[in-house]
Amino acid sequence: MGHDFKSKIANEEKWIDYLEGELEPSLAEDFERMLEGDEEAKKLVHDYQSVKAFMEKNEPVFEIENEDLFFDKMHDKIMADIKDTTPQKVINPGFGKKQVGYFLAAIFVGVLSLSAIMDVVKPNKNTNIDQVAKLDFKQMIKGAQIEDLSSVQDTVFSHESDMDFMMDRHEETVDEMSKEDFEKLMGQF
Amino acid sequence: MKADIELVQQVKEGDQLAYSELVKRHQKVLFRVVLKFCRDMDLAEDVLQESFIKAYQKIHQFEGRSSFKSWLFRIAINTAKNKLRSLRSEQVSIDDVQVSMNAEAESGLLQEAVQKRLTEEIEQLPSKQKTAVLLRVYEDLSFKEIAQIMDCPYDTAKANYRHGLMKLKASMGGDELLSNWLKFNDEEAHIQETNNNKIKYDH
Repeated sequence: MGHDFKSKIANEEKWIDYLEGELEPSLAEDFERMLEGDEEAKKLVHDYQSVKAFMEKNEPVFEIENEDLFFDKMHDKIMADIKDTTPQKVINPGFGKKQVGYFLAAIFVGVLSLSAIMDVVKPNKNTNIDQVAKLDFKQMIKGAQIEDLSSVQDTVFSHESDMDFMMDRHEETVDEMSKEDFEKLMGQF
Repeated sequence: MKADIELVQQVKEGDQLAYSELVKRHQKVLFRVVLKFCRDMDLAEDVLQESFIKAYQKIHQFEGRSSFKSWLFRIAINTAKNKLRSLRSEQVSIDDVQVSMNAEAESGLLQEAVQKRLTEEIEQLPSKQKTAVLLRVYEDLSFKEIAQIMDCPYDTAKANYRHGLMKLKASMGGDELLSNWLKFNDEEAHIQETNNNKIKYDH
């Protein structure tokens, strides 16, 4: 329903653009073609044109008696005030106390943001343990001169293929295993 | 005739006569626009006077990025809005405001009723939407000019106009007054004419 409402609004906006001459000519041609066969669009366009025509025809007209005299007087009044007025000079913004304050605040915010980013980037302790354990496992495999990891898998789990092994491990590779899974695996050596 | 930008330059150099020329050149159109916002002659006079004085005081801030006329419009509309805001506490009713209509508009009760209704609906629009609609429909300004006057991006000016018009259509589209008015005035021909005049695509 929300989507319908949004698309209805977007549709109406496009038709207003069309009425205001705001569409690219090629797109406008498409709209004109669309208008020929679409009764709903015809009504929409007609309604908008009615509202605009209504406004144009009912534009308030303010009648001013002796218009020239009225504006002459108005001009004289304005110029009488101007006579005693001096235009303000544009002052180049200097580097005052306020600006120094903003500058220091910006540095402070920058430092805070940087420290927050560093905190996020810093490796998690638990992750470290996992990583270290996995590295150890890899070292152990190397130490045992086992060149093909699949032979280890065959020994431990008797899987026919790496694919089966992965499926069994819930699609986890050795590198992605949790610490507990890894320790279980280690226990079977 | 000198261009506005040349006169502005002269004003910046201290020539008050150049400003007199700018006032003469723009006061009528500016007064008409201000009246549409204020709907009160005395208030519009005050706003116009104040706007020209403000523009003179700030003339060095005018850098020529928009036309001088757009810049003046912006000052005048903002001044009108501020005045209306401060008066709003006094709750000036639309009914109390004396607006003289042209002879055609005075011709019937229906006309009066629709005029009043339209005024009420326009008054209810949010300020930015009202500005965009009034400038587009009554002053026939481009969205670029409206954006300059409203000091906002082009698309924002257009969006404000669209939303304003959509609200007016929603509130008046199904209105009996409007359909009676259309029948009474045989406006179909006018709509067609408006259509032909407004939708300008060069295929």
